[in-house]
Amino acid sequence: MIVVLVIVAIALALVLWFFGAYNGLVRMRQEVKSAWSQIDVQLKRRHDLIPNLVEAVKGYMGHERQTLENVIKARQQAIDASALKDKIQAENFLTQTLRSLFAVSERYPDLKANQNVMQLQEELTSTENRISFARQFYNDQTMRLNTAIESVPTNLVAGMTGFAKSEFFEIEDTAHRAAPAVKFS
Amino acid sequence: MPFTFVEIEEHKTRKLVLLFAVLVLLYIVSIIALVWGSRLILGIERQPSLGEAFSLVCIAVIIAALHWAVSTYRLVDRVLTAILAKPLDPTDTYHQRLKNIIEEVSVATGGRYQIEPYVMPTVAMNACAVADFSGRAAIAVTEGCLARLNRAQLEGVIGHEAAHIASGDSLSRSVFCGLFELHEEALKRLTGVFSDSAGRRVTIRGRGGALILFVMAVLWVTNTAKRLAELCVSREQEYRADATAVRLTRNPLGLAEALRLIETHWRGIGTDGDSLSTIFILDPGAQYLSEQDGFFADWFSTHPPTHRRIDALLGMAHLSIANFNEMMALHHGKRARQLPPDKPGEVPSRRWSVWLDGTWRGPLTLEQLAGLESLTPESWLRPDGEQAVKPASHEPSVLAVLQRRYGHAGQAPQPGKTECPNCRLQLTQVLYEGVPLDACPACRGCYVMPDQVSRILAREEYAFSDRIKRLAATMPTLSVAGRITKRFNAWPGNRMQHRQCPKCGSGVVRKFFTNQYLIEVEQCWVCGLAWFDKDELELLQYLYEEAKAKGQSTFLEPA
Repeated sequence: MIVVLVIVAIALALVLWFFGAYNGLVRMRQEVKSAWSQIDVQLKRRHDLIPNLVEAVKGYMGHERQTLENVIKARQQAIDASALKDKIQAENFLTQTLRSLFAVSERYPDLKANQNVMQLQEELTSTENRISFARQFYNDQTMRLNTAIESVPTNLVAGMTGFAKSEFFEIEDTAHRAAPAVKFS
Repeated sequence: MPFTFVEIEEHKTRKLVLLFAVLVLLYIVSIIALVWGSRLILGIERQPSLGEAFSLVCIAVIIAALHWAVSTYRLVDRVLTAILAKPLDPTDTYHQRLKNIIEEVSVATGGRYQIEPYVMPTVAMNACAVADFSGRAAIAVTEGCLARLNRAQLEGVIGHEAAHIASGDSLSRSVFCGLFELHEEALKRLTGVFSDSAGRRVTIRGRGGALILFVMAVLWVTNTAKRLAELCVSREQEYRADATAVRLTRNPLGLAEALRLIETHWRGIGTDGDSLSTIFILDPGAQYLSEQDGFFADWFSTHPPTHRRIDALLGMAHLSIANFNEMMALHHGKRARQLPPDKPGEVPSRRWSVWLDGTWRGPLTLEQLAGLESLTPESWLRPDGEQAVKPASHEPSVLAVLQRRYGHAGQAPQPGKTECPNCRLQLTQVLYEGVPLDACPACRGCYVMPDQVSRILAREEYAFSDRIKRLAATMPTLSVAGRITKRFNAWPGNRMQHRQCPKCGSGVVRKFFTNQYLIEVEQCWVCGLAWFDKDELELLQYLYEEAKAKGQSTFLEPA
């Protein structure tokens, strides 16, 4: 009798633990989703800012047509991308083109003194920061979910209920990736 | 995330329960003291019964609950009022940057906290965070911080404050302030009533005297309570908030630099609200105790020593303190001030003679006049065939030419916009140290509101030209200036008959802007809008910064 009771109690405890672990995974997955939507909001903000910036800068940078066209093209690509992986790639490319635009703009003192451009640059800097903060938050949440899915014993629950690991938003920038070359002489 | 939501909530509740317990204990002690005292005076010998003791505790709990309810009602608003925080000016670039940074940091917390930005209009350097039970949270930063910290440093400070809000420290500290310190702040002002400006006590007999006694008694109770409850505010929270800020912004160096800058500047002692020390990033009182190590200091001061906080941050950045000091010693240069380029003009049938460089030239056509580079709205003109002479700005067709020459991107004048009182040209908006001002494109005078002046004085972005330095050298010393300004400002003939304030339409007087410096302005005597001529605003800024650098008083006595 006691043995049966003990077995029932253990089974009950196991079932309760299973529910708890499953709910934990669901919560984490929801958090990853909401973190991704945060990034989306900020990316949208950047897409909306770029036409204004290009318009304001055009008058000053007649010689840099190629740079401006690159920015416009990258923005269109980013808007058109639908799959998560393509989207990440397109946005990274857009970040790079914007960076080169600002590097080029250093050569034009009139442009840097223009109030309108300065304001747009502040807005864009802020948006870039927001994107990187949102990405950082998303990656933190993704790491939590992935760790839970891989570690014992939640991996059993995840395996049984078919939880998939989430993807990190990584920077596909070769310059960032390459380890700095250190020379000892 | 080391903090999950459940943990934070538990943490918050535990601290608040502790605070409430301290409050109840305080009232029990004071009621016992009261009962014991009156028994001594009345000579009652009987021992109190159990029922009486129980009702005493009940009364204490009820009073404490009332105190709690009253103190936490609209807490964010009340604390912000006490520290004189103001909402942002959306057109000011420094304020826009603050708003952006707060939103960025809010994104880094996963967008869970909507944080309202506020500024404190003082040149002191400090920042604080406030939160209440309704879920509102606000971060207030001083103008001094906005002016002297760069983007990364400000981000560190905001990250620190946001960390306090996320971990619930802000809530418990705000409640703590609401319970004890806000009353102290109010009482401080009330006790000020009883001493005159020289600090002597004014004797008030009868009911007034009783009021003093009452005020003193309440002050004593709140002070004791404060000392007790400060024990709950541990210094560990500051280290933890620093660490969370680094996790949010991923930049330990920015926060370390900001801490060093705040530490080495005036943090606001003596301003309104400096006794609300627990909510600030660094103790505004700059207490000796706060900078000490050891057991006693650990228990009785609200903030840990700043050098230890910086050490911890440098550890995260893998930077030695020597390298850091070297880095901070590098001079922080100012930008050269750029004047907007003058716009060339065009257009045509009357002829005028013009007084330029000591001779009459002409008669010239309108086209020829427009071609004269040295023509200004103040140049004297004599229409062909007339004897009367008038300034160029009083001749409509010439004024139109000048308007196009100086106007914003060659636009035609728009009706209803403010004109320059001297040149009659339409004013254009310029940014001066991040503050949008209406300035004349020709004579470079500008309209400034008094609160904008205090913002401009707090900022040190641009260096001064040699001309300003030479002008400043000719200014009389402070004591002489004070005598002149006071006498002149009291003169009734200063009222300008034909002038009206463009903002509120009231009368305008000619006067010195402050009693300290001989900077003459034309000021509205209702809204305070002041017209500074060319260089005068910059000169005031220069004199003010000089006084600050020499360690003289920087208080500007409004004239």
